[in-house]
Amino acid sequence: MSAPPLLEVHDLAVSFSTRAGRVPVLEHVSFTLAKGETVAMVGESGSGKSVTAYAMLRLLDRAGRIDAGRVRFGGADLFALSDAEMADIRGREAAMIFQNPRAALNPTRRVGDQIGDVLRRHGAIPANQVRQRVLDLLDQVKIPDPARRANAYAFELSGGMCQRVMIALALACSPALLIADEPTTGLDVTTQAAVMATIRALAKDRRMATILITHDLALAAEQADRVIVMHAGHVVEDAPTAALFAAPRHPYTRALLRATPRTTGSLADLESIPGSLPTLTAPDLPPCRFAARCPGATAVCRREPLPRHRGDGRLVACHHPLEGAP
Amino acid sequence: MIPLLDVAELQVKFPVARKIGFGPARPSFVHAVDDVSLTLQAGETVGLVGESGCGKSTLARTLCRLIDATSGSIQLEGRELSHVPIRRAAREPWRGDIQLVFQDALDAINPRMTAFQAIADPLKRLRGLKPGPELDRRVAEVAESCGVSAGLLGRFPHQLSGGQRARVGIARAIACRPKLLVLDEPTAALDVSVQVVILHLLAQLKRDLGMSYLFVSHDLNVVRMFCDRIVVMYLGKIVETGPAAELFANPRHPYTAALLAAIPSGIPGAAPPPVLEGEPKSPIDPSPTACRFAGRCPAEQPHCTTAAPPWVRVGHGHHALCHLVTGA
Repeated sequence: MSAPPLLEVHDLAVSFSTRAGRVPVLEHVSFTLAKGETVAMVGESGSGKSVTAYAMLRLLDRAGRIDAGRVRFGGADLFALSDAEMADIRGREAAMIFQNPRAALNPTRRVGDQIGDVLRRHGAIPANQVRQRVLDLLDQVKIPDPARRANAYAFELSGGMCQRVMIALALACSPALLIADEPTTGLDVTTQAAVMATIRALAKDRRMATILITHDLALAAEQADRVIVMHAGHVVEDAPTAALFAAPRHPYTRALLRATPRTTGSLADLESIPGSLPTLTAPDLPPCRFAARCPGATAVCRREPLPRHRGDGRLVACHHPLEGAP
Repeated sequence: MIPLLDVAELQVKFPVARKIGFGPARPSFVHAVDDVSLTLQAGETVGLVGESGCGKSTLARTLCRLIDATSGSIQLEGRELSHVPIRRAAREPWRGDIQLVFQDALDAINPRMTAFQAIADPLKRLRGLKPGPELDRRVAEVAESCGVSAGLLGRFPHQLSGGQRARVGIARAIACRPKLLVLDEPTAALDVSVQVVILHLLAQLKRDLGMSYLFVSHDLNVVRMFCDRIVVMYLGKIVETGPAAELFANPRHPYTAALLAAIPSGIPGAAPPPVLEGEPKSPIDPSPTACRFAGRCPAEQPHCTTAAPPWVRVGHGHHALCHLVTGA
């Protein structure tokens, strides 16, 4: 690609201070995202998907510290910006939607007013047009009867409706990047299909890049151009969706695929992943954090630094990458 | 042969006060479960699916006698359960025969009880065991069958991982050797890697103990693999029921078809699912002479809003509540 990517995360490392000492949560996280591209970030809970997103937008709480790395977004170095400059980018250039929309919305303000707040904060339009723009946004995310729903409080709306309000809120200033953190977890499949269709259509219209954080591999397969697989704070594989599902190259990706219920196949075909995420405070944490759960692990995996092979537009972080079919 | 569980014309209504204009409020009711009949044979696994708010959890809880039914009957092995007041139901001899596994064991287990106490509690209350070697032995046995290692029994719920908590929740529910286990979204809060383990555990327990399962879930892929028969609910009504393989291959009710079509295929580049427009209607005093799905139904006909749909037999053990299906 000749044009610089919209987003470039390079060698990001994040640690959290806990009573048990500093926990290295993310290590060497690198990826890029082009304009208009949708990338899914998958992995078990605790694998670092959300932390990556929060760190990028500098939303980590005080216990979290960015130890290393660089995030370039639309030409700016996000970690070099002042807090005020960063606040301008959040909401206007890069927006985020959260897993639990009802908890993310202000329970004491009407949803229309909350969307209006974003428009006013970023000064995109004159004050007398805010109301009309709010109604347009609610209409775009397919909320029926926007004039009435704009006056509703979050508790008066269903989960699917709240998530649409969150999307309207996130898209109010036409951001170049949308981070959707488990946007449909807890919603019904029918609502999930509707919410994802809304995000996809808006992304296409505006050439908006999307990071879809999910633990649902089937959803990732359907929605994303590329999939980033995370395990215990490492990016273990990053590949175009079709290639990843046709032939996963990291043993963890293969294990995840084998554990995911499909529309065909039986319960007996499902394989569990042995063990659990490693304790990151352990003094003997091997360079490959999947080594203890990996059927193909050798002494090298526990001794040598983790290689990160690139080629064919994909990345795999493994000493013994898989070849061939799943 | 009498079925293990026989539910007939069950209704659960919750009163809501709705005031229109002046004058006293007119009593209105949320029809959470409306005229539901279903049977469950011994050893059978039935999946109960539908959108949130369709009444599946209310139905599950009513069957466990945690909620009073408005009318209708619930029979377990021919014994009527619905007439027993809730307060007394907790001490009835059959109470241990129906047990419930909740979605998140962290909320379901008393946070001040250790895993041992949580598993021992139903044995003490429902089976009358006194603290002593016999109770210790039974708890150890149940814990082992659910893969809870002895070292974990002294821990409190917050000291356990999600998978371990799920195991304790299941161990507690099967401690009394129930005949029917009602599972309300047992794996919804778990990662796929842990979900697989719990599903395999549940399948193993069923083989070993011969229980029947009522499996409430909105994960249709899991339900398809796990259940013999599927019951689909929409706004308090059962709209379709049939053998799992048959129902997934050949859904007859338009709602079932839309629900199944919305499952992500997991195939990269596949066309995204068609979107089911609109939201379910209000469950408050729904029209008795209209199909509940009317207004969202892609195949709707004029008479769908003027007459209640019939319950049509469309195949062997396969029924649908719809004007538009033809019987078999």
